[in-house]
Amino acid sequence: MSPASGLNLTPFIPELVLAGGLLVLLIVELIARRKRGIVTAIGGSILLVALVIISLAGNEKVGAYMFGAVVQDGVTLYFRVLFALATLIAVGIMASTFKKEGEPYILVLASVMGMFLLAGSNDLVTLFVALEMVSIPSYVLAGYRRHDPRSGEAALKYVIYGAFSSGLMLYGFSLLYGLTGATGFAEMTEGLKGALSGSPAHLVGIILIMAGIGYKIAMVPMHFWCPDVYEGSPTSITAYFSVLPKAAGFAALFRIAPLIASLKPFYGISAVGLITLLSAMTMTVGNLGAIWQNSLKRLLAYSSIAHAGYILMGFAVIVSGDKPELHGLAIQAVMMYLVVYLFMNLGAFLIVDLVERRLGGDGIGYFKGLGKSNPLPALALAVFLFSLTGLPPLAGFIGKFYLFAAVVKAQMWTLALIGIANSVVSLFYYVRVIRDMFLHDPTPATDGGIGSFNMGKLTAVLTLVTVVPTVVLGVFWNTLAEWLKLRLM
Amino acid sequence: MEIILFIITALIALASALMVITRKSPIASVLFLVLTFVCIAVLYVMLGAQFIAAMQIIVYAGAIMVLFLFVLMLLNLRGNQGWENISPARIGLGFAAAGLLLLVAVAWLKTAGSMEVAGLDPEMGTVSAFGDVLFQRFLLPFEIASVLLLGAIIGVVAMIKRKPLAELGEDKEGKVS
Amino acid sequence: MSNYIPVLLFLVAVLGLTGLMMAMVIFLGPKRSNPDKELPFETGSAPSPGDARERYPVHFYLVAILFIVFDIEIAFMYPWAVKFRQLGLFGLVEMLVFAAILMFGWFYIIKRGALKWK
Repeated sequence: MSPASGLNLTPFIPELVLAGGLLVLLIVELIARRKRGIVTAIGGSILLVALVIISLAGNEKVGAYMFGAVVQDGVTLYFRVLFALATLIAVGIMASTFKKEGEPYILVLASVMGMFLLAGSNDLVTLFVALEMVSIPSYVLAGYRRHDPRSGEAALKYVIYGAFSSGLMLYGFSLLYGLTGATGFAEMTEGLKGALSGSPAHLVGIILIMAGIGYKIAMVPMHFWCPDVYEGSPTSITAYFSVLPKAAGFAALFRIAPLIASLKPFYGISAVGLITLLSAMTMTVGNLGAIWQNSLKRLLAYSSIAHAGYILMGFAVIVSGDKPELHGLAIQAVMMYLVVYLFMNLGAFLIVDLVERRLGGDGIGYFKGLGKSNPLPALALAVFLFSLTGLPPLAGFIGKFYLFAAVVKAQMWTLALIGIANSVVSLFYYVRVIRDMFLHDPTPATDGGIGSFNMGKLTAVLTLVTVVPTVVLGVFWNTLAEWLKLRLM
Repeated sequence: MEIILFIITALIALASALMVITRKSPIASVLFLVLTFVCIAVLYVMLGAQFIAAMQIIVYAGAIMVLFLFVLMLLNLRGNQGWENISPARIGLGFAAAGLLLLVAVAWLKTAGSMEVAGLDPEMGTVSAFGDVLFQRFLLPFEIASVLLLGAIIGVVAMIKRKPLAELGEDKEGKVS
Repeated sequence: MSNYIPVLLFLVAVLGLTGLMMAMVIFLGPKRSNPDKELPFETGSAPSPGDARERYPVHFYLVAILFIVFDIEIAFMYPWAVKFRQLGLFGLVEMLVFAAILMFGWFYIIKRGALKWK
């Protein structure tokens, strides 16, 4: 057998295009004379559009390839499209901030390369390398305002928490490897299912792996870095952080869900119980934390923690595992929610970034009376915040509806009740911002006063790109739901 | 014979790890960290993981420790780096965490006999066996590691060789019209 | 374990030789001290005035981290060299791809002037 047999590159084309494009872009960035940032941003956008098209074209399901390191199925395909789309919008948001240098875009694309691999990872080694590939460029991006101490603090906290949780996760990996002697997920799941009873090594291994992935998705109790990093990073980078590495963490969770589901109850701790507890804690801490925030970036950071908690509800159903149709429904709900979350969260950060660039800050004071001085951005932000709350007829409602439907069908009543109580709490702090925007007069306390400003063409287009799906998906969600269902067949 | 060697190495590793976190001078901490790494390399050898042991010495005890020293000289720490900055609450939390770990360890030991552990090939840690899996089974993670390293290069150079904020060309035009 | 006896012998030889040389210097060498000899040795140049513990420029860190990156690249070449014959052309292409991607990094370092000492 020649070593090259078993090497099938056809399903790998999106990743190859991304890697090649990344290298070409690096050269372009190096030889461009002026406006390196703009040139790189445009090049990166073209690459991302190409990736969406290529990913959609590679429709077939091939299973494991590349010696079993990666797998291509409907979920891989979905995540590739999701990552490319979200990055396209994030690059657009960044283009208003980074004009003279192209490195941020290159770093973002390197990170996306890791995400693509993560979506298809079929093996502990691939999963870990891909996860680090998502993280390492992110650390640099968090500290990109080099002369702002808050940005330095953000980068340092991100690195230290990241290294710590990677270490925990690796320890978890080594425990499960010791139990099964395999690194491929399929073999490991087989091995773990064969065990007669739950063992402490299995339980501790799963908990440690959850800690590592929980760090990426900002799950309680691995969420402490999140508000500080979101606050200190440049706002356009925060927009990227709030959606992409998080979605990548959920992609990883999809891949290891069978490992978690294989956990046999040990001292009364079952897989479903574990995820349910984490989900309930995450949404509660996120929503309660958000109430006290006066900075919009911190508020959205806590809200993103809460949303991770909602998405984890779907995973609680996924790992419950005994009924296959329920399983499919839950996966569909999570996939649906991530699409909706992408548009509404990037949109919200887009407006916060706009206000910060024009008025100089992201404190709640800068938003007071925005509805009178700048009705269009204020209206857009209101739409995003209502959608984040989950009010009909916006997309956020549909996303939540699917998640709650899965939880209720699985008869997890407690979790459903906690979720609903949390949605009510979240209404309070989202609406507070909207009330301040529309019912307050502009206060002179905000530095420089509040006047009407022009949005800029790019921001206007991006607002449209994020508002339209947020509204349209709330009414015509069926096409998306059907498309996702087809991916899962 | 082997168990004696293991106990000695493990004790030195633990003692020097304790020294790392109790020394007042960060430089001394780094040197004890090197000692810890060397002891861990010995443990790797005893497990038959030659390649990992060599990497532990070359990359960790060698290159990464140099990096640590540069960072320390960059930060220029001096004076109070002692215990007095740590609040009692933190020490309490530390003991709580240690207690939890003890609980897990006890649970572990009580069930250790009944645990099924996968049998592994004793030769799997040799350089040759490592090369076999790295360049075939794990070809993809290996190639991806180069992109990861490329990202690290770009990141660190971009961070350090940057111009001050004023020259960044942030979008400030049309601030208030 | 017995595979490692040569390593142990090597270790004993290194320690013994070092000890022997130190002992020879102490017992056989002449000791004539003068003020210049008592100065700290700084690679041949005159000792820098003032405290040795001043802040180092961040540039040292940059060089060190770039060194680590390429150090890791070399580390991967070690098992590759051992398996080179069995892997054949396939292995060569693999390593070329790996090194080529890192060469982009090297090109970036040179072009950005990261190794220039101001």
